[in-house]
Amino acid sequence: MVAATVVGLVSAQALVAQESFRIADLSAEADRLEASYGRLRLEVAELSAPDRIVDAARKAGLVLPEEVEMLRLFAVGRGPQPSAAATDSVLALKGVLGGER
Amino acid sequence: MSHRAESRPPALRLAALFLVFAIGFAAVAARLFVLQLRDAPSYMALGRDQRVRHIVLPATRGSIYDRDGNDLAISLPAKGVYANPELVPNASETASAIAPILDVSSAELWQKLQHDGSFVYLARRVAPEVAEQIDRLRLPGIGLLDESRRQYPSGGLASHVVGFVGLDGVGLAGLELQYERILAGRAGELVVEKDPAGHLIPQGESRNVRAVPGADLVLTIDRDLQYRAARALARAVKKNKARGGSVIVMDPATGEILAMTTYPSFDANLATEAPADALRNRAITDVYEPGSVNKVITASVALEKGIVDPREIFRVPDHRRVGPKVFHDAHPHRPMRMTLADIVAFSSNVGAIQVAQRVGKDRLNAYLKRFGFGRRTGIGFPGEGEGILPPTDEWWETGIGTIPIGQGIAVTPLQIAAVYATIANGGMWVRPRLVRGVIDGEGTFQPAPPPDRRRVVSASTARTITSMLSYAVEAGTGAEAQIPGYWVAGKTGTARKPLEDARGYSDQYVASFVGFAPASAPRLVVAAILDEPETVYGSIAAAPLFQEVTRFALTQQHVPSAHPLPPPPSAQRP
Repeated sequence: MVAATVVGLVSAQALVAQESFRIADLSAEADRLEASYGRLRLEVAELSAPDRIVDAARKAGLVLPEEVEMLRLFAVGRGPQPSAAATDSVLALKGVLGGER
Repeated sequence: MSHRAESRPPALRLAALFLVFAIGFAAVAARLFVLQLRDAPSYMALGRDQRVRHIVLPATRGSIYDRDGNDLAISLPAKGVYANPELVPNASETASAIAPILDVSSAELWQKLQHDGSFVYLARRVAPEVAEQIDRLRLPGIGLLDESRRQYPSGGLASHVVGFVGLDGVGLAGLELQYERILAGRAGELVVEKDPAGHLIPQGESRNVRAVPGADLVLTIDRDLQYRAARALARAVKKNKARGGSVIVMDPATGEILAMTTYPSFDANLATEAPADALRNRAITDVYEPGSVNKVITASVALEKGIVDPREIFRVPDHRRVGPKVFHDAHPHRPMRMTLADIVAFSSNVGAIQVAQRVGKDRLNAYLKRFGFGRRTGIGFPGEGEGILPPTDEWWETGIGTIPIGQGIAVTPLQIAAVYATIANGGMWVRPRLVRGVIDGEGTFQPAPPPDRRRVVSASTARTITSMLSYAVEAGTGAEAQIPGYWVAGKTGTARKPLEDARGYSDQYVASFVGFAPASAPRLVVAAILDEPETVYGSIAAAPLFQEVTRFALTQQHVPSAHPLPPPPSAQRP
């Protein structure tokens, strides 16, 4: 009876010690993963930074348009009515968008 | 052997021996008493101190995001490498082993290991993988501490707004300083018992007070717009050979600052290496004399108080004496017939002074205050300037000549942007802000409270002033600010800089253009300011900068064009 109790206590102690080491290992692993997550997050942020995107685009041969043409769309009854030229622009835009007839 | 010694009685010798043993046992018992009873608690404490480790769990500093959740500042786990020089057996060997890992010279490390004391940092905030390499060497007297490393992924982007932290991770400038309490969080503590080999003792003492991470800050800044504004500003500074400059982009309805940039700039990751002059967020902390952009206030009060009718025609010569000083328009001209709109659009100093003399200094001063001059906007930024607005009893005799045209007073670029936002807002001043809200520890976004608002002028006055500002861009000095497809309202400013160490003005200028678009349904207010441009004039130096930033912002924010405003009465329009 005494021997069984002693064996039981020793076994329990060994199990507790084993779990303790496992917890320490998991904690270290969690630290490693956290560091890795931080590194990856920083990498994503740096890669998506506007100056890097612009540099990459430039290297790829992309350029900003010299002029941006604004197409003005007027709603009926609000503001000046569209001129013939403006109407053409609206129709052209509709054609591009493949929208309403 | 002597007879006397042989004849000594054994009882006496036994007694002496007994006495020696008795004294010996008494000494042992006394020592035992001291150790086991009297000093037991202190020895127990000493033993406990050797086993029990108190490990500070540093709180992770909150991140700073732009309005769309892009990282502007993040904290990463890091380690501090320290040494106890008293426990380092061979400083030279230790330095040589660590130096290549830390990428520093071994001579530098050796010098640190000569430190007279039991603690010296060898490196701060090193990456965990680097620290792990050092840890694997198992060098006596070398240890690691948990720290965190602040990183600004976009470097110089919005660095004046975001600010930076010091070596200890405490905010030193910008919003990092302003929101230190919210961002820092609260450090925790882990108490554990460890054996001499450093392993946890099962069922030993253990207590874990978790660190409370700092809350994340969500700014009103739009990263892409910020980038474009910064790039446009840097280009404009170089093109106009200016000393510096600022650009502010603001949503007038909410007071949200979408972009705020200053030149010269600095990389927040290398803030300690930047010149002190580059660290200031000049858009908020520095004051300057606004010049003609201030005429919008002179015109507003004249209309609001019914002192000037928009249809009234003034006869405006090219100069006017006020007290001992003669004020001139920018270019000589014959006396001209001008309405208030013409005075604003063509930026006539003489016309503005004529209007101001009718308004009177008390009313003018009252409205300068109502528009927010002479006090901080309350945006929530360290070191915000309040500007200079002298009380009327301290005005010089020439004050009614200088102040209506924006000289003799000083404002921050933010204050002047808020003035134009007031006009864009139909006469309602809205407190500017840089923070949309915080993300708390539960991950919940807590929006900032709505900004303070106050009415400064009536909606009718604001509408009339807007039409005049639109006319200034369409036909006046602001032509360079025109944006194809949009109607823009705005005003140029060209102000002489006062001498730094004497009364009077230098030959240097601050050029500015402040305005908003679309004129009839304003969505964006933009202030573009250049310090000491060689090109001098707001119309030449600052208006194109305003145009470039506003044009991009309108497209990027998907702002539709809006109908034009009816033109204001003019005596100059053909």
